[in-house]
Formats: sequence, structure tokens, C-alpha cells
Amino acid sequence: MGDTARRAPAGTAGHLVLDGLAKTYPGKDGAAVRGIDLAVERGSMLAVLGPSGCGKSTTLRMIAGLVPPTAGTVRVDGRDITDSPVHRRDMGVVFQSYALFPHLDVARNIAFGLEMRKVPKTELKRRVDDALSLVRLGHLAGRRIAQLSGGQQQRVALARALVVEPAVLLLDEPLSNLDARLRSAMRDEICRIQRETGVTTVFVTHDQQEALSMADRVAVMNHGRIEQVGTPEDIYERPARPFVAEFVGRANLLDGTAGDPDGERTSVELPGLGTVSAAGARVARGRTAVVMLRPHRIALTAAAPGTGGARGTVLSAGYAGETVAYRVRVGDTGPVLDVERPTGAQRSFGPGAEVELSWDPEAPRLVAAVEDSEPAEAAEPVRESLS
Amino acid sequence: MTADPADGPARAPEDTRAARPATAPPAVKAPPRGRGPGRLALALLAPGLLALLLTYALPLVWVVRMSLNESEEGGAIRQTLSAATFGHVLGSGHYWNVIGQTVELGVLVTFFTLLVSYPVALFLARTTSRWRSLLIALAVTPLLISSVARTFGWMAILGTQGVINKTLTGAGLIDSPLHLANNFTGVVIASTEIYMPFAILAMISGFGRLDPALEHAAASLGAPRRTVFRRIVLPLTLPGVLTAALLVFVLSLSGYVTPRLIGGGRVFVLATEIYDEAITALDWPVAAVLSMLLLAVFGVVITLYLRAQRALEARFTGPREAGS
Amino acid sequence: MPSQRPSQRLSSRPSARLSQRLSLRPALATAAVLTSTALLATACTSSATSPSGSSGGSGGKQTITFMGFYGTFQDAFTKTVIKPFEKANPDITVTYVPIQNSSEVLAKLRASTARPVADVALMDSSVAPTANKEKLFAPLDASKVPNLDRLVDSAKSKDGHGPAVTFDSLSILYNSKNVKKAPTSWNDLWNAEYKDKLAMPIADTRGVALIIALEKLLHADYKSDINPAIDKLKTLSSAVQTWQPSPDVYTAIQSGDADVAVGWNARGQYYKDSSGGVVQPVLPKEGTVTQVNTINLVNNSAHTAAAQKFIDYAIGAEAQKAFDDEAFYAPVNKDVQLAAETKERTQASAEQRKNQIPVDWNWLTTRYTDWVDRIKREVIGG
Repeated sequence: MGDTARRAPAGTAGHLVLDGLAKTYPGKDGAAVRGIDLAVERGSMLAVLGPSGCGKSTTLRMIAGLVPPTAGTVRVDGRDITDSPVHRRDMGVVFQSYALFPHLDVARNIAFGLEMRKVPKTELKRRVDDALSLVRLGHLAGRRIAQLSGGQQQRVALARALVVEPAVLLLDEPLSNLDARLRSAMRDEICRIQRETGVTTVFVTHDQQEALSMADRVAVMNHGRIEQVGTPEDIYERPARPFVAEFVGRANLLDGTAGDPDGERTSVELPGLGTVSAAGARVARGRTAVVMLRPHRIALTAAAPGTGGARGTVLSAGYAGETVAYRVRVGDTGPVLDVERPTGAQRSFGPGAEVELSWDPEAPRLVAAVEDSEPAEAAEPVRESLS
Repeated sequence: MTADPADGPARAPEDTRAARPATAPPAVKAPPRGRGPGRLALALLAPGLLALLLTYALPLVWVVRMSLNESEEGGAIRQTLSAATFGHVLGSGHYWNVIGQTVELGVLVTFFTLLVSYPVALFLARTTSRWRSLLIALAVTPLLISSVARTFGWMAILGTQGVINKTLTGAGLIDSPLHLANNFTGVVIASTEIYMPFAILAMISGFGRLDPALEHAAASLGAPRRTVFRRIVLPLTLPGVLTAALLVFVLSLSGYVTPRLIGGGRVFVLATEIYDEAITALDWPVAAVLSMLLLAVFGVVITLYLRAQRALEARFTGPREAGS
Repeated sequence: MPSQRPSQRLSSRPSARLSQRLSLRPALATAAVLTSTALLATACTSSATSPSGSSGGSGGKQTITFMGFYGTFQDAFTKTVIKPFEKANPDITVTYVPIQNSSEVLAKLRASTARPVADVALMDSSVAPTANKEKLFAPLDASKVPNLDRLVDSAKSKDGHGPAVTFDSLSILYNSKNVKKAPTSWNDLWNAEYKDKLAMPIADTRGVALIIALEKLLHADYKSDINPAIDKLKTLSSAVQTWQPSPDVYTAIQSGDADVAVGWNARGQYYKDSSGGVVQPVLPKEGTVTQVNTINLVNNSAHTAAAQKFIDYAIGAEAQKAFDDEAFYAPVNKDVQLAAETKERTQASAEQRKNQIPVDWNWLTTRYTDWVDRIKREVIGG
């Protein structure tokens, strides 16, 4: 995934383009959305990921036309639709609650959008049938909504949104109302359907697993801003900011002092751990830098005398089936690191065990200088020239 | 849409599970009847049942009995068991007219009450204003004022010397006053206002299925506002409208005060006719028969309501399927 | 109620009427008035006010229960009849049970035949024959009621039941502020000037009385054919503003909602005084019809002697004069000399007496419902 997520300059590529989209609610301090710039490529699936209250749902609703933006534009295929009413936007929306019409059966729910478009009867029937088989619900066409399970309702909602062949499909927390088992099945289902239909899709979620596993690209939002946009791998392996590192997956974030740059890498002096060389953000010499170490990238071996690695003491070990989660204090007074090791072939350690920590050179990532993390600057410096 | 039939009709695992609740008979058994709770329930019900027996059942039995008597000239009652009084009433064009006018009044009042109450109820049900509770309370405050007082208020507005006629004649728009009171028109107007709070309350409580997300969904599928109302809002609010219609219709059928006060003696409905037969004509058996007929009309109305309600509910729950 | 069969004349103030209506909420109408009447009656049977439950001996102090109309009628009757009676008969106390109308008396007595809730009761002469027929009232013992001999002929009962105690007449009422030329004749009701300003509460005894008056005017006999009167009334229909003025016809005239109406004279006279002359009752020059209230001994009363003593007093010259001067009724006792003003304002004047239209209420009882039905269906509904 080497493609570069550019910040979308007005009028450039991207099927759906948001430019400076912002929403301020009257009577509330602070804006819900503080200027979003985003370009979604035709046929791709973008996840907007963030904690609750970060403005991701508001952003989705502005795209759908359900919430008028305070500033900025929404364009589809280069056409400015910012002021178009909802019903002329040609967006398929799947709501968190599915919002299926309880007085209509499955087929008529799906047919609704086609009826609005005055599609002739025979074609309408064919397309509804196609949509039903796309979501594998052909046998339930005559059912009422109240007679469906959550997963079935989800698929009806998808079919209803897709049958009109919208320019863009918007999904609001599509899996949050399903239980865990169904959720993974539906995840695959949505991906399959999106692939088959090739519809440009934006979905909103607070679940990083969902975002990483489903989306072509992920936009991480916090406090009404986009923190980083990139492929799931970008986001996970090369987080641009401490918030992204922490929110997407687990991370040890260590403060240190930046030393000399060495090509793409910068050496950072970490208290207790010595000097590490990390790629990522550029931090001027002498400034405080944040280094990320994913717990599963740290290896533990029994401490042996004479080796030069970092040593530590196991504080706790949590057995979790496939992995063991350790907490390890580095040195006697150093930082406490989360470490995750696979079980099985690996030797496990109990609390109090003396261990040696090691990682491959690519594991540490320099996520940001501390100074850069103030929010006012956050929207600008999302640089994705990391790879 | 490029559905791939090659994908086959693979049923997702939840399908089989999902189909069950809708078709399976209720598996819940009636709770075993313990003696203790049963007796307690009876004890708690007793005062209410007794009050119902004394104030409803016994008088009703008395009315049924009276309807089987015959009246002699001058109002003397002949104790007997015959259907003669029923025959007399049902054979009289006058009483059929009264029943007809009662039903006509009910239909008109129900129609107009729903017409003016629906927008109010819809607004109150959908508003997210923090004044919502206050607004709902305001909508029903007319109930704090006796319908007698409100009817007199309407007479002051609608009468030949009333506000409307004074204004219109004063403005030179009409030469002679409009006949808005002391007739059927006046009764319809006043009743409509008087039953509005009931209708609004009934509708608000019946609008539970209304959900802004549904309207958004419809709009996102290409429905303009009017279509959203017609295809989504209206069907979803119909159960509430139906309940309000029943309430208003029944209240209107049994309404006595408004037809009497503002009808100018020209509006003959069952409630006033029952009173007149009992008090003016002293014909208790006929009054009892008319009471029975009013009950019969109620029966018909409630049967129709239940049918309509079942039909409406079926739209939401779907037709009963024979074990699929 | 304007529509009630027995006219109550002074008996109903507007406020009291209102409270009566308040009790008739629409929701009650399923079981209608009948059920509540039944309940009321049942409750009364066992109530502590049952006179037979009080002291029964003839020697000691006795209490008799009198059912009369409520409101100002009660005030006047208590002041001019009951108080003086009790003063003259210290061993008898009279309890006044106010009732809305004669139908209520009938209902209460029907529900308490064995132990009646009253000893003496007023009743309109159009209802009384029914009560007599059902043996709710007992014939009087003429020897116990010597004043029966002093009654004018029209006040006497043919079969020995309760005699008349008040005479009232049907009048035309008008609003003296709005009406330039006062009506003097029944024919004036058809005056084009009053179109849409007429209040005609005639679906009750007032209508029956009006038919009789019109029959005389039209030289017809009400006992053989009332078609002339009905046809005449039909021509009035389009001019009538309301057949059922609310809250009643007297206040409608006083407020100017209606300018001309038919109503009972005694109550009209009361309103004439209380309205400062705005309400003007007129006894038409062709003469008018008498409405009669009878005073009756309740069958199975436990205080027959005291009750008849009271009846005797009520129809006596002293009580008649006092009550009629107070409330503008005409006397039933031929010894009474009313005050000149009362005479002028009731049918007791010589001229009015001459014009009085005799009515056989006993006969009319059997036609009453039929007539009212014809008024409702042919005149009002037609």
C-alpha cells in the first residue's frame, strides 16, 4: 500500500471531496467539526474512526445533507452539493438504528428509493430481487421489519441504500448494534457487497478493528479534526501522532530527547532504555520526542549476564489464550512497558522474573515532537510522507 | 447493482434463529396460580369491582329491564317483558333520524377534531424544544375549564351578537349575521374545540413509532418532504390517529352538554333525546331503549375500531405465517 | 332546564342551572340520566331523611317532608308559607327537599313506594295525573282540608287528589331596550321585526300551552284538532333564532341574545324586577293559558294528619296572598285579595281572568307526549 493520501486540494481527484467542512452548533462552546479536508477515491472504502464525540457522525450527516455545515463544501464528482437537499444528493445512507420502515415489508423497504426515482415496475422488481440476493435475503422479501433479526435488518438497510445505485454509500456505526459473533460475519458481508458493487463508501466507527479490517483507508478523528488519513497499515504501523498510536491498537509511548537525524531516522535518547533509532516524524535536535513501541514488537528473553540489552522485571503476566500480556519495568526506576508475547513455543515468565527486552530496529516509531501535539496545529501537519 | 447469483442463497447463520420469534407460538407458560397472590389480587380489585358493580352494572341492568317495559299515555309505566318499546322506537323514522344525526355529528366532529389536532400533536411529538412539556401541558389546559363554560364561550363567539358576526357586519362584509350558533354548525365547531385536547393527548401517546431517523432515511432515498410525510409520517402515526378518532367519536356520540347548549334546540342527538324522553316526555321505557341503542352504536364503533387496529398492526407485525 | 316539562318559574337561578348541567358530563350519557336517577332513587330509599323513620306519633313533635321546586321558589315558599305554618303549629316541623322538576319527584316517589321519601309534594298538573294513576299520591280527606271548599273551581281536583296551589300563565317576554314596539298579541310573534331574534323554548309544557292559545286564536278546538296551531307555528320556524335558549329564556332576553320569547309569567315578573325592567313579560290581549302546580299527599305517608294540615294551610287565603304577592302567582283561593300591583302583573286581574283559556290538564296528560313530539318533528325539525 504505497499510495499516498494527499490532503485534497479543491477540485482535484477524489470521488467525494470535503473541503474545510465545519459545523458549529449555536449555544455550545467549541465546534463539533473544525474543518475537515478529505478526498475519497472512487470505489474505495473509507473509515472515519474516532472516539465518541469526536465529530465523526456529524461529518457523516453533513455529507448526507442531514446537517447543514457552518463552513466548507461537499463535492461529488466535482459537483458542489453543499446546498442540495437530502433527497437530491444521491447518497445511500445506512443508519446506526437501520431506520427501516416498520410499516413496509422487506421488499417494499428496498423498493422505496426506486419508487422515488419512478423506476418502471418491471425494472423495479428486478432490481429489488437483485438487491435481495446481493444481501442474501431473497427468502425474506415478504417479511415485516419486526420479524427480522438484527443482522437481517442490517442487510435490508444495506440493500435499501444500495439498490438506488447511489454515488456514495454512507454507513453510520454499521455494526454497533450487533453482537460480537454477528459482527465479524457482517464485516465480511459489507466488504463483499462493497467490492461487488464498487460503490464509494464512507463509514463511521469507533471500533479500530472494524476500521482496520474493512477500510481501504482510515481517517482518524479527534476533537472535530482529522488526525491522520492513511491505509490501515499506515495508521497502525506508522501513526503520525500519539493520539493515533494510542487509539489504534495498543502502544507504549515513550518520551525522549531527539538527537541527530540519520537519513530517514532520528536517534532518540530514552531514559532507562538508552538510545534508539526510529523513523517517523522529524524532530529537531534537543527537542522532546515521542517514540512508540507496539507491545507485540517487544521480545522477552531470560536475562543473561553480559548481554547489553535493556533489562527489566516482570511486574505482572496476564494469560489470554493466544497471548500473554506482561507489564515490565525497565531497569529499577525506568518506564513500565506493555509487552505482548504469543503463547505456545514461547517461554513464559512469572512476576518477578528478570528479563531482557529487545526489538527489531524497525519497531520503534517516532510519532511526534511533544511541541507539535497542540491541537491548533493538528489539522495542518498531517504529513503522510512517512513511507 | 451487480448482484452475483453465483454467491448462492447461502443463509447466514442468524437467519434460522431470526425467523423463529415471529412464527413460534409464545413459549411462556401462564405463571402457576398461587393462592396467596390470587387472594391478594382479589382483595385489591374488590373496591373497584364493587364500585363498578354499584355505579355501572346495576344501573345498566336496571336500564335493560326498563327497556322491556311499556309506557302508557301520560308516562305511567306498565311493568312487562316485551319488545314492544323496541318495536315502537325502531319503527319510528324520528328515532332513526336521531341516530343518523348522532352518527353524522360524531363523524363530522371526529373529522374536524383530527384535522386541527393532528398538526399540533405532530409538532408536539417531534419537537425537541426544551419547552416541550410546557407546550403539551398548554395544549391540554382547556380540560381544566368545564366544557359548559367553553360552550358558552363559543356562543359568545358564534352568536348573532357574537364576536365573529359583530366583526363581519362591522366591517361591512355581510349584511345579516351568519347562522353559526343555535344549529348543527355551532355544535360541530364547539365540539371540535372541546375534544381537541383529548385528541392531541391520544395522538401524542400513539405516535411512538415516529422516529426522525425514518424521515431522514426516506429523504436520503430521494423522498421530498411531502412524500416523506405521505409515505412515512402518516402511516406511522395512523395508530395514534385511530385511537384519537375512537376517543373523539365516542365522546361525541355521548356528548350532551354541547348539543344541548349550542344546538338551539334544533340538534337532536341520542344523548339529548334520552334526556328529553326521560325528563320531558316521562317515557322511561323509550329512554331506556334509546340508551340501549346508544350502547349498540358504541358496540359497532368499538368493533370497527378493533378491526381497523388489527389491520393497522398487521402492517407492522406482518401477516401470520403458517410455520415456515 | 328550558326543556323540562314542569315549568319551575322562580325555582331556577342561572347559577343553579349551571351546576345541574355540570353534573351531566358527556361521559355519563351511556347510562344516561336514567341510571343516575335510579341510583339517586335507590340512595334515597335508604337515606336517613326518610320521614317514616322520624317520630311517628301524632301527639309529639312531628317532622314532615315537603318536596318543592328549588331556588327562588324555595325561598319565597319557605318565607311566606312554611315559616308562618310552623309558627302556627309549633308541634310540626317542615323539611323542604328542593327538587329540580316534577319528573324528579315522580322518579323519587316511584323508587320509594313503601316508605316514601316525602309526605307532601308539588307537581305540575301535566305530570300529577300519572302519579295519581300509579297511586303515588293519596286522595285527600276533605274534612281534614277545609280550605278545599274555598278554592276557585279550576283549582279543585275532580277525583279528590291534591288541588292546585299555584296558577301561572304563559306570557310573551321581550327585551325593552331592543324592542321598539312592545308585543301585545300572540300574533305579534310573527312580526317581521323579530325575525332571527325569537327564542321559542316550546318543546315542553310551554309549547303545549302555546298550541292551546293559538287554537283559540284560530277558532279551533285543541281537543279535536291541533293542526291549525301546528301549521301556524310552522310558518314561524324560519324566524326563530333558538328553540332552546341557553342557559334559559329569561337570561337570553335580559342579555339581548334574543329580543322576544315565550316564557312563564311569574318567573318573567321576577326577572323584570331583577333586570331593572329590561325583561318585560306581557300577558297577550287574547288571553293566555294557565299552568297549574298541584300540592299532593304522598301515599303511605306516615304523617297523614300533619301533612294534610300543611296542605290546608298552603291553599288557605293567608298563605296564598303572602306567597302570590311575593312571587307573582295567581291565587287558587277565592277569598284572597291580592295587592293591586300583583293583580296587574298576574292573571288575577279581572280582564285577564275573563280572557283566561280553560285547559283540561287531566285530558291533556294523555296527549302531552304526542303534542311535544309533533312540535319537535314538525315545527322544529320541519
